[in-house]
Amino acid sequence: MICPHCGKNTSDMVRECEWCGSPIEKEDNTSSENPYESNFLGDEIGIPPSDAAYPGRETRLPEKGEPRQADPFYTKPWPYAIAIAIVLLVFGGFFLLKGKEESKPGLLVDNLPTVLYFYTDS
Amino acid sequence: MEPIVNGLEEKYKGKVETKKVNASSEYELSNDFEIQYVPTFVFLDSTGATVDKIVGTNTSDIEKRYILLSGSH
Repeated sequence: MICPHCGKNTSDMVRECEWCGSPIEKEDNTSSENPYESNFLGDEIGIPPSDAAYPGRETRLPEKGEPRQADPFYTKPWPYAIAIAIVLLVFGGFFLLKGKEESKPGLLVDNLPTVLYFYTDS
Repeated sequence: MEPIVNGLEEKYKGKVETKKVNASSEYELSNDFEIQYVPTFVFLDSTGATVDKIVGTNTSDIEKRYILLSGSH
């Protein structure tokens, strides 16, 4: 492009003339790399994501009085505590019942230890 | 096996009781203890809980269990 001050040919990628150093005012807003910065598209594109690649606008914070979005359940400890308690109850109950089933005091005589000898006639 | 069992029964009389169970006729009891082969020895302690089960005719193992049971009473 031609510098309006010194009339010499200079790069259009710079903001100052390479020859005289005077600032170059750019007429066209489309050269801005960040559409959010230049507001070229206005409000049509909406709020940008919260990303460092878009430094122009920050993520909109909830306004005063507006309810804050709750954290999802899997980020809290209580679902995991409940799951662990259920598993312990199931396995603990299984072992307790198994122990009770194996005890047969009705087979004892005078509460003495007993040996059951299983045989067949054949 | 019968004479051996009778001998053990006599030897540990008063300390360990021995009950002979016909697995063919005592079907329910055999099922409770999951008897699959005979002879099988099921050892119960003084509370009625099963402490061991020996399948076969290994006399030394069977007598060791008798000794343990008689000592625990």
